Amino acid sequence: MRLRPLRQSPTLAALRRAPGFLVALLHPRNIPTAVGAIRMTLRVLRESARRVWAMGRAVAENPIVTKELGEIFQTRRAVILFALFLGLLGLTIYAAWPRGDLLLSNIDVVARRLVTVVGTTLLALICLLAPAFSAVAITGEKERRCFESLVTSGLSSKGILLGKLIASLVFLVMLIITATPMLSLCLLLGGVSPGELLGMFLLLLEAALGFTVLGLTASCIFERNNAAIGASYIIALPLMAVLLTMAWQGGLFSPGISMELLLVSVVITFFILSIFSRTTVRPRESRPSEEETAWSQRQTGLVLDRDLIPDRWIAPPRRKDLLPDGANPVLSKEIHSELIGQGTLMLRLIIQIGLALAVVPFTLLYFIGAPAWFFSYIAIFALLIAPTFTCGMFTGEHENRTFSLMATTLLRPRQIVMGKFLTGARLVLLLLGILIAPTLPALAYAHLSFIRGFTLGEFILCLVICLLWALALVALGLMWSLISRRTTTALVATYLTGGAILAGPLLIHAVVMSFPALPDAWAGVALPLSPLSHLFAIAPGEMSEVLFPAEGMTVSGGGGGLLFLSGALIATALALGAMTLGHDWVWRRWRGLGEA
Amino acid sequence: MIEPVIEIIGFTKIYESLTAVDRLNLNIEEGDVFGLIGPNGAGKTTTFRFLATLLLPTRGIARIAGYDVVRQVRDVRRSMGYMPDSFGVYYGMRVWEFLDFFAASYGISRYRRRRIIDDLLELLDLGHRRNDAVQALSRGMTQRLCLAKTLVHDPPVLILDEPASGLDPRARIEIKELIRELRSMGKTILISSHILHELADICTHVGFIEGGKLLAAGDLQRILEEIRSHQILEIRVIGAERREMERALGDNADVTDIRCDNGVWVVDFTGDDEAQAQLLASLLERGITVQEFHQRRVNLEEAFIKITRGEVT
Ligand SMILES: Nc1ncnc2c1ncn2[C@@H]1O[C@H](COP(=O)(O)OP(=O)(O)O)[C@@H](O)[C@H]1O
Ligand SMILES: [Mg+2]
Repeated sequence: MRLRPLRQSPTLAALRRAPGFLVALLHPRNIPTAVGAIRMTLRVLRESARRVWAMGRAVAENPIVTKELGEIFQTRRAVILFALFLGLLGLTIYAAWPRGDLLLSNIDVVARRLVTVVGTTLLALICLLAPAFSAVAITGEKERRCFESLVTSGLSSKGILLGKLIASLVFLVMLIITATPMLSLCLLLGGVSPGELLGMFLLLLEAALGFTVLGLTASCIFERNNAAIGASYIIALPLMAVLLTMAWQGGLFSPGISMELLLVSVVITFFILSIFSRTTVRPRESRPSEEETAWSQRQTGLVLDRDLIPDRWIAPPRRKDLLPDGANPVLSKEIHSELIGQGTLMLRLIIQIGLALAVVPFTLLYFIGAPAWFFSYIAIFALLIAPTFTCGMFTGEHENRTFSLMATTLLRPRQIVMGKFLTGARLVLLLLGILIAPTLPALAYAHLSFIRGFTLGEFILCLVICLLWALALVALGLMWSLISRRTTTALVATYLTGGAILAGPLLIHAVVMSFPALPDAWAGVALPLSPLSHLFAIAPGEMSEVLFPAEGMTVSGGGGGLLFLSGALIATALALGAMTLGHDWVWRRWRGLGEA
Repeated sequence: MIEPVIEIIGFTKIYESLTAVDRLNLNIEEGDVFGLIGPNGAGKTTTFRFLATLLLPTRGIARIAGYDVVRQVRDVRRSMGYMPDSFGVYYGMRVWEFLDFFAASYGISRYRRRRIIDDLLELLDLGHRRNDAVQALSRGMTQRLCLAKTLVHDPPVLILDEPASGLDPRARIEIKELIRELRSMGKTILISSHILHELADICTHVGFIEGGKLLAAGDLQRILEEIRSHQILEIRVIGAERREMERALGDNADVTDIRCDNGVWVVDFTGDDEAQAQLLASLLERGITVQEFHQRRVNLEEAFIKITRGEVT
């Protein structure tokens, strides 16, 4: 059959005639056109299908994806993690499963709560893990000096980024998928519809995608793992807090919003991908460190001036003369280390962000009368910044291959551990000090009963709790740095354990109180561990109860606070002692492992 | 017999299934410069890290200056300077601070440190870079700085792992000069490389290691002499009878073996240069048309292993 010659694409022509398209199809004169249009459409469809198929194959055959997936699933750790995760999930569902003596009408509510708890936990897990996987995607290659060969391997920047994105996502997606059967059990109870469950899964996927993209972006921007991880967590944790609060209040179940968010995150993903594939995923010509500093200064608009305050406190001026006798060489080396000096640029960024964010707690502190929120903010801030300084202190010696230089000297473990600890503690306390300093005038007001019911003693107690918590975090970060092989591992481990100590007890409390099947006595068991519950007990303020809805998440008053103080002190001291004693033993573990 | 300064007995290191070093025995006496030669992956670094107290052996013991490297770690560290094959520097430190840090780490008093840093900077020709950031130094200078670091506590034993690798020829020569100077200061030096050629003119002794096994070890000078006295001549002649050639060569007392390879006569020869000239003259006298007559370049490694085989194993 010969088609009537057309000047334009028959598809377009046919479409242009819409909405009379169908009518036109039936007109005998137009039949050849219509047939042509259908043929064209079919061809376009076939072509699109082929393209999609090719893209899918490209992704599946993307060497990065295959390589990284291979790495993930080769390790036994992944399997153990999965088993642990499923076990915990099962246990939670089992523990909260409604027992026979419940009223039928209550079952709906319980089922909903169950899904909420599991969903929120999953969400938290995803938010915590996603940046950890993706933030090292590009910087890791840079640090391993594989980046150049990766870029010149013929893979396009888009291919690299897409590969990294998918590789970082797969684990999370598997996590979500493996949770499906267990969660579907809750459908048996009623109260939650399959549609709502679907909405929840979409939300989880979006979160995975969103936080992965976040980490990947940080990885493109920064040059070092630490910086990328630190930056992505500093953005991710507040975001996560918002998301979790929303989820806890039932926001998990609305597919409409989820879909929207999903679309937005996908758009942002590709937006960011396209931007960075053009500019960032390209090896920068290596430049000497001084130029690099100048470069990062230009990039961030921050200039480090060692002679001015507070830069002078953070990165002290260079030494003019030899170390005095009896001084700890490690302490001096760490304090003057470029990591800290260069990190200072990032640091100031953090401080500035921190101060900007602090405006809210300030307002709360001064005008609403909820000082506990301010101190909680400081405690969380400590968790955000402490690991970025301490987690690289031991692992860095390996990663920068300075380990064997230092390890063959006569330095004692005590000098090494204390040198590193004091440097970290000094920095973190300084930064917290900068954050807290503006509240000191509030002390005067406190006397004037500006903040009703909050005495000077309580103020100081809260302050000391925050500072000791920070010290304990420094020790925790160092500990992980000592036993991990990579800074990245240490960072993630510190964020996870620190976060668990800070928020875990509150979460346990909330979960236990949500389910009648669980004995209430369990609720408060872990509470004394978290500084937050002490802060809220000591400085409730007028509005704290309103803003901190989970009642009873506090431990009794000042006595508990003092207990926490001594606990934190003892824990820090124990950690330091253990590190000193175990230092050589741990290093022996590395002996023979090489440094590369 | 003199007590060896470095003594390794039966050192074996096994990584999972791979035997990196297999029953290595080695004695190095005071004032020796011992070159350990072997290809990449031969086990040099493994051996050095063991001596430097950074690695626990699967089996075997070693003593440095009489101290056990596993049990008397601090004494060993005090009497040994170790330069790793690859190392980083502390970013942001200046050259003098770098040396000050390590000197202080060895517990040297401030008063002595001042002198030591000045002396070392002068010895290693880094005086003009004293206030430069360490990461800004060239590779050759970084290598010299690390050498300076191994010397801060004036140890009698130096363990240098491929100190000249990755350097340009000029920097290589400078490092060699330095090692020669250290030798003249009476230090006992253990040094590694993957080519003998690089170490031939600074070592007193060499050992060959491959696949974790020490193939041969011995006095370099004595062995070089032996190599020199065992030459291989390659002679290409035109139109000579095989029998005539055999007779002509066989008559010479310095010829120990004759082969004919594709028209090239390969002759093992023990005579000196003059004897070579005489051999050539005798061939010409017999009316043989010699097209080519030269001494084959000996592969030092091969010759060395051939000569010393049996001495070690
Ligand atoms: N930590 C390690 N784990 C496993 N194998 C190692 C380790 N370190 C070295 N090896 C192996 O031991 C062998 C000897 O390595 P090495 O001593 O570094 O050789 P060399 O310094 O002579 O090049 C190599 O095959 C290397 O792959
Ligand atoms: Mg080596």
